[in-house]
Amino acid sequence: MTAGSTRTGWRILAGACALAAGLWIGHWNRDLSSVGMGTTAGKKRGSTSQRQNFSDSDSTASAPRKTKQVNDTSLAFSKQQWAKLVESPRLLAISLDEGQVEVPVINDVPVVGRLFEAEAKGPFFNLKTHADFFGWDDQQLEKVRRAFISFSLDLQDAEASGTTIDYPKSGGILVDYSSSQAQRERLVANLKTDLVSTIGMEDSRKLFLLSGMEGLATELKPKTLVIPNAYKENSGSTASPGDPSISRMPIDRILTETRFSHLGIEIDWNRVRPEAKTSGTTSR
Amino acid sequence: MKYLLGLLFIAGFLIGRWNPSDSGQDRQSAREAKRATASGSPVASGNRQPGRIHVANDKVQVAPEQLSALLDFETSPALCMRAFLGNPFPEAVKSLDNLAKWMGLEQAEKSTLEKIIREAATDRMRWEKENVKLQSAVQGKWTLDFPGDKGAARDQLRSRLSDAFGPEKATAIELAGNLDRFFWLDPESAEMAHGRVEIQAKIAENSKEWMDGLKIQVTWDRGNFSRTEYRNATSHLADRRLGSLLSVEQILSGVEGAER
Repeated sequence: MTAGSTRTGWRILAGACALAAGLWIGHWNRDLSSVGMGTTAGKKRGSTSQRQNFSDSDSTASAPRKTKQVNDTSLAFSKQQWAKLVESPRLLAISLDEGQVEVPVINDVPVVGRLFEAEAKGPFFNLKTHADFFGWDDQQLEKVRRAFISFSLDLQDAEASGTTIDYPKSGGILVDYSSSQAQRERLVANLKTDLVSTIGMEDSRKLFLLSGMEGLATELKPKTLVIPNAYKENSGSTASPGDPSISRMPIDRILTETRFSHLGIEIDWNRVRPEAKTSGTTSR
Repeated sequence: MKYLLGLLFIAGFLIGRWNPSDSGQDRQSAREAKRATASGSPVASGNRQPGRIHVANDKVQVAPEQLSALLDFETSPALCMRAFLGNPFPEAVKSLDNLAKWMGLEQAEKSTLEKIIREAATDRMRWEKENVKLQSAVQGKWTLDFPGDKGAARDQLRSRLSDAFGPEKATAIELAGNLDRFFWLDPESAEMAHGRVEIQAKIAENSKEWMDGLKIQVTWDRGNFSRTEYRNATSHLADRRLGSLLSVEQILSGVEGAER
């Protein structure tokens, strides 16, 4: 064997090594990035930054690294609590819209507003179920209640100042909530801080998820409302001749105005164009 | 030469990283499938990871996204024995649908689960017909004494689920379907897999039709706890569990004034 052929052999060997090393590192890199994707998969609800606040403080857990991504974020319930939840999934759901036990319909209607119109009727937040479930004492319950009330007031302000309407050529009314997005996220973050100081991190996370309020920080998309019967007058109404403007207003118009009254928005019906094909309320 | 080695290294890196069917979801499901195989699960893995609901330190542990998905259901995913006897009740269909959706079960898995649940309910019913003591000391009044089976039905259901779904997923299904309460005599009551049920019946005085006039009072009694429910003939017929142990005909034949 000549010196030249030995050298060629070494070159081939080195080349093969480089290729193998590249293959191995490349494969490892791919697996690593896929693990990263797995951890972000669950973050679609709520704002990522807010969620991060909640997850960070849990990362002190001394669990082994492999099981960490499951255990770190998982929430623990006693068996009695769990049975209650499974028996009635919406046990702890809160609607800021009505102050009643219901999930807020976020992409359809603004989340607050009507709440404080109901204030005169008495306590609108019955958080007793929540207190029983989590075992809060009276003082904690009162603090949580106050946190919710001030949050809802601020949220209403944010929505009222951050919602605009427009009258697109394609018809209907375009309601745009998006400019209150940043303010909403801030308020949700504040509420979380308030709750954490009262009932602790773990229960705050549970409360947010089970009340359906996690979604309040998400974006309310601009929405086109088409009101099918808004353009014909109430034919069968027994209108008093004295005040035709009110009594002859189509019911769909009245309903639409009620929906946005808390935002201080007045709809100029003269500018609303009917949409040709669609019937019912559609979103774009 | 150096450049050549560098190029070969980069080529290797890229080939190693590249995968023809590569997308985030594929990777995720591939990992889940891998995990399912590793845990010996004979049924294909669903969309949601079974480990997202499990028990640790005597607490139920659940992943946040799994928990918030619970809010999507207006009715409970909890399963209850009396809904799974005989023809499917709307209640049974709904709860099973919810459970399957929540746990991301595929159609085949859902069918397997339903089969197991029905078998468990039927087997337990057969056992109850042999072992529940029915007595009537006073006219129009019955007692049904349910002896304990030392958790035999519960254990059998658990092992059937485990055989079909693998231990991890079986546990998740049990937790999601509240199967600890599956055999409870009255799921609304405190824990009661055994105990006494009292049934009292009479014909309302002003009724013309004996079926309409049949008033049935059912009391689940467990010493420190009792709950009473009022029924008519139709609602007692709908309770296939108690109705199988004490039928409407039996009640009618033992009630004064019930003439047919």
